[in-house]
Amino acid sequence: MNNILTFGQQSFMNSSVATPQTKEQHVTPEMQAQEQVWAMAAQKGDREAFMNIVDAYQRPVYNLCYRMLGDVTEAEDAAQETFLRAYTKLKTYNPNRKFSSWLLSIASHYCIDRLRKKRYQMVSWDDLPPWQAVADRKPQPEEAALSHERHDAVHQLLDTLPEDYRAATVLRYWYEMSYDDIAQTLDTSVSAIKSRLFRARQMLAEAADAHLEGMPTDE
Amino acid sequence: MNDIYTEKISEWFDNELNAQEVVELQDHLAHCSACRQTYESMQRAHVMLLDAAQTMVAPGNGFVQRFEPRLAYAHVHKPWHIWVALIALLTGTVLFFGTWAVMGGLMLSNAGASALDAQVLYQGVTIIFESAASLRTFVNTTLLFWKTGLFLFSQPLVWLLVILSVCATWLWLRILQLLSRRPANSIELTL
Repeated sequence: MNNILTFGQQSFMNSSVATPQTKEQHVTPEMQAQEQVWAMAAQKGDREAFMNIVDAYQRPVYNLCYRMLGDVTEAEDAAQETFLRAYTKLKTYNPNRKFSSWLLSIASHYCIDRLRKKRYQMVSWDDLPPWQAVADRKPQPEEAALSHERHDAVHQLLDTLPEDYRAATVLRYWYEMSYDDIAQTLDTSVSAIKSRLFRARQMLAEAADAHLEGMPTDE
Repeated sequence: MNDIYTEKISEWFDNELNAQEVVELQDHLAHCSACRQTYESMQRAHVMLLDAAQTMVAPGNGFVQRFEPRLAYAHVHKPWHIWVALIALLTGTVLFFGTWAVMGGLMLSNAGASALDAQVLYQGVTIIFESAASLRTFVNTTLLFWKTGLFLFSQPLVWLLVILSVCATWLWLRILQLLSRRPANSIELTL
């Protein structure tokens, strides 16, 4: 009994663990005000305004693609494709919606589709000989450093999740979105998001446990 | 272990439970070892993700510069552009060869068919669309077209029709250009 109480006081009684730690906001209020001006101008065909949007949102979009796809080259390609799709779909953008959410929605759907296609491909990019790979651009130093991150524990864990679960998890943790926002971004219901996050956490917990069991002990 | 409570654990991580629900969950966890074990496992993954989420990965320098040519290319080469371009070419081709055959035949009939008659001209067109099985057929067809060409291009009305068909093709491409709403600083569409 004493043991249970000790556990309760030290661990789950402390609800602060459920609060994501504060970090640098990926979309500031100033950006949100500016994004509407740029979006309106871009809708009227102002390409310079659209390039400002690309410049401002390259990081959140790229980060989402990287967390979804787990590879710097694929993330770069997916991020560019996201902006390209955003440009061609600009007329469908509803100004009442946050531009960043709309952009992340395009990125999420694209990455989910890409992962699905990849899953059903007979030959993956990794199996192709180097001269047939898409990457004709040498990765820059910071990207080269990041390529090591692919093999870290978090990516290994995220790789175990189905595409839909992974998207919900990334939007929740990296973008601190509410259930409503994630549901809107992924075009689904709040209950579906609750369920996906729950299942994702279950799967991640199992994978994390298996990972820990497989690690060599100090003894 | 109760699935309702394990779902609640997930919602608790997201701060989606009210105070009453949190108390109930904590009470349950204090007494249910299976749920507590699930909580601990989930928490490990949760903390790991929270930690990883502190890092927002940025693309390599020059992302915007790398994107610009891709946008410029896509701006000019939209998928439906191919179809419009094909329709343009088809319209031009049909107009050109159609007028060649029909108007040429009519003119020959009106001119009394002194050099070639409408039937021969018609044959020339049909042979082209049939398979040129032998070299002889090919040479004959070429000669026939050369002769009819020489005759037709001596007629001002045929010149007018050729100009019209070229204009029709140009018009299609111009419509295509206008529909694509090309901004002032984008790549010029070469006609």
